[in-house]
Amino acid sequence: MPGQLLYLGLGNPVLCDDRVGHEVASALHRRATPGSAELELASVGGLELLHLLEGFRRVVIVDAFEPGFLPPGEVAELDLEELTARPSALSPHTASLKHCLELGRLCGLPMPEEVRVFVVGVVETRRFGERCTPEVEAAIPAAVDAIAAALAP
Amino acid sequence: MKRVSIDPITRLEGHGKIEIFLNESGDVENAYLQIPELRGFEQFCVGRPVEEVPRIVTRLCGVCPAAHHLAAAKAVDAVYKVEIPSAAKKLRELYYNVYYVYDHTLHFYYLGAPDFVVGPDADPAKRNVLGVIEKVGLEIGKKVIEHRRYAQDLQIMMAGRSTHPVWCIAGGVSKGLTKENVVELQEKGKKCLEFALFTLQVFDDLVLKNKGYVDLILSDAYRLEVGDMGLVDAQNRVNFYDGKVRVKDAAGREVAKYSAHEYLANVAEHVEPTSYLKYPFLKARGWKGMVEGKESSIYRAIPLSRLNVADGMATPRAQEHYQRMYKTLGGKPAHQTLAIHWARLVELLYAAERWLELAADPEILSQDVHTIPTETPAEGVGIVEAPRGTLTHHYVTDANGIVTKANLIVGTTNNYAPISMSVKKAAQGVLKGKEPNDGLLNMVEMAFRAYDPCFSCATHSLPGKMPLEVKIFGPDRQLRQVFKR
Repeated sequence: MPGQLLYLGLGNPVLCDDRVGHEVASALHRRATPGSAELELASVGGLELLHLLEGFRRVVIVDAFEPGFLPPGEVAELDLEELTARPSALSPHTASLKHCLELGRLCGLPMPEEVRVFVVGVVETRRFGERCTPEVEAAIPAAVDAIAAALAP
Repeated sequence: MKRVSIDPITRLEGHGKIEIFLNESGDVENAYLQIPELRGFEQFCVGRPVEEVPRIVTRLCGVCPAAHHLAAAKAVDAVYKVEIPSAAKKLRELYYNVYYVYDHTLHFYYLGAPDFVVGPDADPAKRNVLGVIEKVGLEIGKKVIEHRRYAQDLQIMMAGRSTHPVWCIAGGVSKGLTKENVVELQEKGKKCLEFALFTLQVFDDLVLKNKGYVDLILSDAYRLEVGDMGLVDAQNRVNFYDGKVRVKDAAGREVAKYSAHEYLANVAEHVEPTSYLKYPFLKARGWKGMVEGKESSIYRAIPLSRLNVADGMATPRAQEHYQRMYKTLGGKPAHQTLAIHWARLVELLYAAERWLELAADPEILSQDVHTIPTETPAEGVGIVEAPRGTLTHHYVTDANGIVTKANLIVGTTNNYAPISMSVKKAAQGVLKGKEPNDGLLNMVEMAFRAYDPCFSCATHSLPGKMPLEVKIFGPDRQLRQVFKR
C-alpha cells in the first residue's frame, strides 16, 4: 500500500538532461528519513501518471524543464493551478498533470492532497545520452538543496 | 525560489505544427505536418551488448514500450539465430495482447470519443475525456480506469514492470507463469472481453446511430486511397506479435508479403527537401510523391490497414465485428480515415479474445521458456505490430554480440506521408469557402488524431504536453493566422 510521501522523478534517463528529474528525486529520497518516503522514477507523462500518484498523500515531482525557459540547473516551482487543464489536442499520452488529477478525483481515486512540481532548467533533451550535460550535472547538488529548502516546513 | 507560470503554448519551438497554405481563391492548396525528432538512438545502441537492447528500447518511448521491447527481443533472437520455446512465444503474445487492451482503450475514450461524443465543433474546454464523462456518465470513466488497471497489473505481473518491461531476453523470457497467475489472467481477461464488447456498443450507440457522424466518416474529406501494411499469420489473419508483413495497394491487391529480414528489399525512405522527416514508401514501386490511387507507393500502417491486408480476424467475435464494419463501409479495402477508430475497437475485441485463448492454453504453464543461445551473433530483424503501425528493429553485431549498426522504423514513421495527405484533404474539405476557426480546425486535426500518432513520446519535460500550432498562410506565403492548441 502506498505511503504518505512520494518523490517522483520524471524524464527519460537515456536522453541527456531529460534524466535530471531522476537524479534530483533520487537525491531527495536519499536525504529523507528511512521509511518516510517512497521513490518512483518514470519516463511517462499524461494519464500514465494517474496510477503513480494514486494513494499518496503528498507527491513531490521533479522534472526537466524545456530548454530555453530557465538557465541550466536553475530550479523553479510550477504553480499547479496555472498548469493548463486543457488536454493536448494531439495525444492522450501528453495530458496535463492537472487534467490527470482532476480525472482521478472525479472517478473517486485517492489522489494526493498536495502535489508540488519542481522543474530544473536543462540544455539538451533531444539527443540520446546517459549523462546530463556538464553544466546541468554540476548544478544538481544545488538544485537538490533548493528543493529541500522549499519543502522544509 | 522563483515561481513560474507558463502557458505551454509558448514553448512551441520544435513542436507539432501544421502549416496550411491557401491559394488565390482562399481554398487550401497544401498542408504540411511538422513534428520534432529525437536524434541519435541508433548511434546510442552502437557499442552496447545486443542483449541489453530490449531493455534499453523501452526508454525510447513511454507510449509503446511493450512494442519496442518485443520487436527488439525478436531482433535479438534473430541475431543469435535462436528459436524460442513454443511456450515463450505464447507468453510473449499473451503479454502483448494484454498491452493492446491497455493501449487501445486509452486511445478510444481519451482521444477518439471526445470528437464523437462531445462533438467535433464543441467548446475545446469540453472536448476531452472529462466532457465525455459529463455527457455519458461517470460510470464510463470509472470503467475505463478499472479495466486499464487490470491490464496494467497483469503487465507488471508478467514482465516485471509496467512501463519499462525487463522480461524478454535472447531466446525467450526470463520467467514463466504460476497457476495463480493464470487464474488471474483468465478472470481479468473475461472482464476485459466484456468491456471490449461494451465499448463497441458505446461506439454503435453514439457514433453509428448518428447519421451525421456516419456521413462524416464516409465523406471524401476523410478518405485517403493509399496502400496498407500489417502483419498476418499463416492464414492471413491479423496478428500483432508474429507472422509476415503483407502489403496491399489501394485497390486491395497484394503487392508484397515478406519476412522481417526482407524489409529493406520492400520499404525505402524518401526525404523531401522541405522537411527533415523521412517518408517510407514501397520500394518496388519507387517514390511517386504524395499521391493517392492504386498505383501509389504510399502505404498506411494503422489498425484499419491491418484489417485491410488481412483476410479476417482470428477470433470469432472480432470476426463478426470485422464483417459488420466492412459491410457498413462499403467493402474492402476501406479508406475512410475516421474508420480507424472503429478498426481499433475491432482490434480491442480481438486482443481480449486472443488474451483469453492464450490464457486457456495449458502450455503457458510450461517453465520451458528460454533457449540458451549458442550461435555466434551476427544480424537480426524483428517486426511486431505496434498499436500505431508496423514496428521494425534491425541490429548488426560483431562476433561478440556488440552492436555495430542499428536501424529502426517506428510505427508512426510509416504514416508520416499519409498523415500529411489526410490533413491536407481534411483541410481542403472542411475549410472550403469558410474562414478558419477553432471548430473547423479541430475537424482538420481529427484526420491526424485518428492515426493515434506518437511523436516525441520519449521526452517528458514539463509542462508535459506537446502543443500544436496551426499556421495559415496566404497565396503570397505570408502568415495570416496562427491557432495555438
